[in-house]
Amino acid sequence: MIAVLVTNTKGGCGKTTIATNLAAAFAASRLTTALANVDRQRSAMQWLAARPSRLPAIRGLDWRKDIGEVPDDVQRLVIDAPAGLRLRQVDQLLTEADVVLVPVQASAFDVDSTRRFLDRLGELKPVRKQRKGVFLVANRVRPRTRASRRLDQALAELGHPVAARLADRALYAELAATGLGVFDVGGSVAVEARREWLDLVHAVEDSLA
Amino acid sequence: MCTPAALERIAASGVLDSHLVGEPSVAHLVNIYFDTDDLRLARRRVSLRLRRSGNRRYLTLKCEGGGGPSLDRRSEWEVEITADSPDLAAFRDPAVHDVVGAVLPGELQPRYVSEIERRTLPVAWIDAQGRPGRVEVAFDRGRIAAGRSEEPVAEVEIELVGGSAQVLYEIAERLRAVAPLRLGAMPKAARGHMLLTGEPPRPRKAGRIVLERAATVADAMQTVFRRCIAHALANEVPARIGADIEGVHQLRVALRRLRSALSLFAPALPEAGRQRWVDEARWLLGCLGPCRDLDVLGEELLPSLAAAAPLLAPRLEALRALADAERRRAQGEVSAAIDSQRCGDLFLQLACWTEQGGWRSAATGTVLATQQAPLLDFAAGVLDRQHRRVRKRGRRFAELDAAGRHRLRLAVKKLRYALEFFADLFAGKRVDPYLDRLADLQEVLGEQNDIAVSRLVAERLATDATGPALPEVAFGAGMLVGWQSHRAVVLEARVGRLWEEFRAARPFWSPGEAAA
Ligand SMILES: Nc1ncnc2c1ncn2[C@@H]1O[C@H](COP(=O)(O)OP(=O)(O)OP(=O)(O)O)[C@@H](O)[C@H]1O
Ligand SMILES: [Mg+2]
Repeated sequence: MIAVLVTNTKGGCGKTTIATNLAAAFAASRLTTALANVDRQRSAMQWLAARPSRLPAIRGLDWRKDIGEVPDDVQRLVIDAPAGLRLRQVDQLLTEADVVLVPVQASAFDVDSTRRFLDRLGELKPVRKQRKGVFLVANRVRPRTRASRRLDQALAELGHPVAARLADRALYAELAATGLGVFDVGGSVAVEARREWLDLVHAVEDSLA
Repeated sequence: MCTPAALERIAASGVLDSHLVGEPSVAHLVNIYFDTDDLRLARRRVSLRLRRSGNRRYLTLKCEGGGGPSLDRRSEWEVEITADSPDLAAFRDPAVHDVVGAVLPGELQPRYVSEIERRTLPVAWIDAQGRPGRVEVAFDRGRIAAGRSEEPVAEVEIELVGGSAQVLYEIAERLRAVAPLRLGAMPKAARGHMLLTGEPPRPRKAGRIVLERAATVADAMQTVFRRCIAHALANEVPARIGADIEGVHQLRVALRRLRSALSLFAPALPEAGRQRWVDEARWLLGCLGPCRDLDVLGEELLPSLAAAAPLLAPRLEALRALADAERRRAQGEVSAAIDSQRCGDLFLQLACWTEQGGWRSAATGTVLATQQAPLLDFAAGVLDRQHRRVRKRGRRFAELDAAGRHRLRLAVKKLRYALEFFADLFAGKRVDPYLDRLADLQEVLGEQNDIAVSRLVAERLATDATGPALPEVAFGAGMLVGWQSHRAVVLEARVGRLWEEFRAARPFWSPGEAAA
């Protein structure tokens, strides 16, 4: 099994969007996939509840109270962490994970708080000893804008590889409401989005191969 | 595997005609190999093939295991499908997805194709012991194409349908007598991948050998020889191409292990058969030696010297250029040796001998009894002898001259290979300390030997150099010899201590302490 933890103490940066879409991508690859919900707001669980039954199934794990068992046959686990976690809680989730994804948005405010988060994350043993890969995911990017150029610079200074750049798209709100991921919708709408997501999936898969 | 011309000669020879038990059948096989844009499957050593045969379609996933082709098992899944696209969901077994990882719809595209005309002959054959066997002999002719590059395919595949497995090898030898034939070192998928990327397969290490504790000596020999052959075959192409110096090195390791095995198992081998493989292995090792020496010089010693003395590094250039030229020539000799039929025969016939238990014929008296003896006692005896031999060679260690050190190094190496074959049969807390100390000792003795060899090579290059480059080559060679002499002094200070530590290590293989 490969477990991916999506985390950043900053709220609203795209953790749930990334966790749900990544889980849907694994499921679309026919991997037995589970999505663990740690957030009291239950946003990942709501997404799962809306997911149509014709699509490859994703198992929901309710980790709001405690970190629970992961069924043996699960091949990919995605953990959606809530905002504002304490370091001790991040550390606990970290023991369950093989790869960590940290979403970052293009505001100066987000970059600063992400830097603080990464500094603290870096103190945790598995990260410090480089036993777990930590990747940044640039989110809500508006290509060819000043903001996106500034974000690129800021990301380069954060000292972790950028696994993918996800553009700002209205599509995500729709997907969130209907339990779908970018790989579950056909047609041309999602073509470009899918390309961005392939980068993310490859980064996760290659980091462990 | 053979040349197209050899295949035609074999097919036309009619050697199998009198053994046919039915009509030959002909099938046109189109295999399309799929991978992602970033060739993730290949990187995971997986191949995904869609085979069209008539109007049926099969999807096959092969996952390459440890050593090499033909003699090693691979995990494999196959399903019949109806569409012409490779839908991984067709495999019901979730383990398939553990192997391939996340592959999203649309990511898989055709990367290379093989088109083969397969002519299959149903054959009945009586082996030398009078036992019947049924086989299918398939002649594959065609091509593998990736983009605009392509190459021909000419292969004979012999598959046992029932009865005596020995028939396989007897037929192989019979066909070999008609025209040159060798064991295929690369499966078709690997050839396609090489065509596609231009990258040769990566050199392979030997991998662990696991022997059954309840095995006989003959069983163990078969496993060990098989693994040596697979290790050698896996490195044939990397060594022939020479893009990575590890290829020649690993092929040499495989042959050395083979030679050690032939010597360690000598009490269970009839002398005539054994000597033949010893001679052939020695021949091929001899063809690889000069190339390896220059590899070590060019890729290891000169760079480390240049790094240690950056100001003088430019003055190594003439030596490096000469060494590179020599290396290319030596590589040419390596490639010619590997391509030669002598090398092809070595592995084909050694494999036949191994699979048939060729050591049984001509075995008499104690040799035969040893073959049937339990492995555990035999292994303990071998380790005992080799251990004592090392101790003897190292007696009065401080006074050993260069030749004495050399003999000690060889004995240590042989003990080391014996342990690679047998150590897993035993358990206990003495195993690791013993292995560690031996490995430490071997490493330093090996480095000392590398130093001695590099001095000879540098000296020879300096002697052979002519013309205006001579003074610079000589200067560089002098630098290298000086630097190596210094390293030799440093190592000398360590080796005595390592020898004493090894002497203090206690053997762990008395049969009473065999792993539970
Ligand atoms: N790439 C994007 N393009 C457009 N909208 C996005 C994108 N990523 C996230 N959003 C939107 O931003 C909002 C917050 O995203 P999301 O819920 O994924 O963040 P979060 O980090 O999980 O938040 P919280 O900290 O509250 O858990 C959502 O409305 C989501 O649809
Ligand atoms: Mg959330």
